[in-house]
Amino acid sequence: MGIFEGLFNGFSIALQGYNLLFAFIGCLLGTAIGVLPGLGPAATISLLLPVVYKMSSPATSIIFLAGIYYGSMYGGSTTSILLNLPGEAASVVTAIDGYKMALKGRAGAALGIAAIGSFIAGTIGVIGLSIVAPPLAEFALRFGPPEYFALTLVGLLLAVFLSGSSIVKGLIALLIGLLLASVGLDPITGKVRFTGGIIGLQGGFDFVTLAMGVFGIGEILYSLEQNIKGEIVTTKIGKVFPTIKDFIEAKWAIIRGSLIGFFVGILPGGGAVIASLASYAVEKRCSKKAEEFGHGAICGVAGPESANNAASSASFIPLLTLGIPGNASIAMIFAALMIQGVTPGPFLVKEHADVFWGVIASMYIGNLMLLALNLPLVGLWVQLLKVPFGILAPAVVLFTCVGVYSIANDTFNIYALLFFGLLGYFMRKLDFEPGPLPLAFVLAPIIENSLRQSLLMSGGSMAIFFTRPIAATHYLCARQLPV
Amino acid sequence: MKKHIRTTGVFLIIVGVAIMVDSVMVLKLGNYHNPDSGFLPFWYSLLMVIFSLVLVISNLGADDRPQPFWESLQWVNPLIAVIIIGLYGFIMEKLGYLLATFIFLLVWEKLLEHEKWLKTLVISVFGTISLYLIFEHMLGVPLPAGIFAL
Repeated sequence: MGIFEGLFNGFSIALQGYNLLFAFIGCLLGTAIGVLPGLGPAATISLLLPVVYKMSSPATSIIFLAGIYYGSMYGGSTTSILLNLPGEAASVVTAIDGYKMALKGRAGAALGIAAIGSFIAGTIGVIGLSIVAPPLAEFALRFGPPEYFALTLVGLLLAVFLSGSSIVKGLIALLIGLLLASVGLDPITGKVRFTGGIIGLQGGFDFVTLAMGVFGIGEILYSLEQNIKGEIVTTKIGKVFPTIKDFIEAKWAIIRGSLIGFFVGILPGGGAVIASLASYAVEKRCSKKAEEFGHGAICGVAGPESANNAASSASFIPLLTLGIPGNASIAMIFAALMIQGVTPGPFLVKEHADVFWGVIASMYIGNLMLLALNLPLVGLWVQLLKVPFGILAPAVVLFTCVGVYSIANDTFNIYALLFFGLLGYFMRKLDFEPGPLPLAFVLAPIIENSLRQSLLMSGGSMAIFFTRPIAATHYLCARQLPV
Repeated sequence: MKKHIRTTGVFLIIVGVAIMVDSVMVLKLGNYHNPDSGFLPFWYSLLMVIFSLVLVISNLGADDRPQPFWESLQWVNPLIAVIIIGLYGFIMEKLGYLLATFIFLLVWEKLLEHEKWLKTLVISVFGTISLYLIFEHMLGVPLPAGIFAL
């Protein structure tokens, strides 16, 4: 199936009423959680994974969850600009110049350029995804177990090295994720591993429970300690459409941000946060008015906001073509696909063309929806901050508890949720980046199976991981990491 | 912070060594040609021990800005929340979803948010019913009926 034929089919799926509705709900929810500080896209998608069990179509469920992911990138800028309070990690850098613009009475221009930049970058990202993904999936068909082992390992290491926090702590989080995944029955020998005699653990920990605990409950426990109360700061927004002069000034920042975001997003571990930081650094270096950065430079808003949107679209490429999620949010979408009985990877484009092209087409539509949702309704989103934490927190906790209970109708999952919540809480307290943990957990079966199959193929020789050209190339890429 | 990181490192080393022992003694490592169930957990935990050791060594010495793990009574709210969630898991199947959720919200709002009785009751009743409608009717999740079961 060619790209145009695929996209045509994709639009015929994405434009079905049911899918349009879920793309809209996803974008709406994504914008909302982007606005609200605390709950990021990974936490929200993990909270909604039990909903995916009830959805009949894999395409619909991924369209819905993808909408939340890229929608949160749009929403994150709103509170960064108006309140100097980034609703989402990828918008932290937007606050630097965005908030200064707001203080100078140019909040509308900052919000407008952020939304327009996000739209242009999101669209460029989706076009890139449409072009790059099919040939990459075709290439990935040549991968055997050694190549998958190498790719997964390098992907995990990249996720740690690019996460920005301490590399040693990231590696420890990654190993905890791998060890947690080995709890339960060994799929090959049938031996029971590390269950401590608890029957509920024989099937291993559930990914949804782990993700909800580490991100949802962990975040709530940490917020309770900080004693957050609902508060609202009123800032005059003014006109939300930037002037022609603003747009001319920011156009190259948008283009550069889109390209940086796209290429960073493709990398496993890349994602929106690094893309926005990289774009800000590039804009500051390229600008003729570098002294304006930090004091309300419009390029300091346009570049990073474009970059984080392009990155969120591009991060679907390794998932849809190689079956390797590059960051925690995409790991949740990986889990959702597995729940629906769809294995992400090079065969996805052939075996589940409806999911592959349907999701891509829905992103074009979703970007349009988000532009419409974000520009005129910006005032409404700010009002969302009035929802008191005292109502939001117990609602999230109950949603997660009932959600994990519903997976197996077993209260054991609530205790497991509490365990992971405490793990997430202490990780935050001790400054451990939680992202690599669920990523490693979800990729652990690929690592274990591909390693064992490779050793079986080679008769126990580890040389198989270094002598095959594609696998060796992966390691060569890993050697470029800034250790 | 350094002291807390060191303590965490030591704790992880103990856990890692325990997993290594279990992998070797109970699960067995096998060999490279035919790895057994303990093979990968052994290597994972060995690496965890090594990195934890690095973490401990790199955090040796006095703290520049020593600070307690919890400021004054910062730990109280998370602890109350943990107890409430644990109890919710315990009573959910016995009392049923409706009563357990009502009690959960009542205790949460009173102990953690210090809301007045009227507001607490309104949030508890409204929250219980809203979540019931979402799960039972919109998502079709069978919730435990508990003492309300016929």
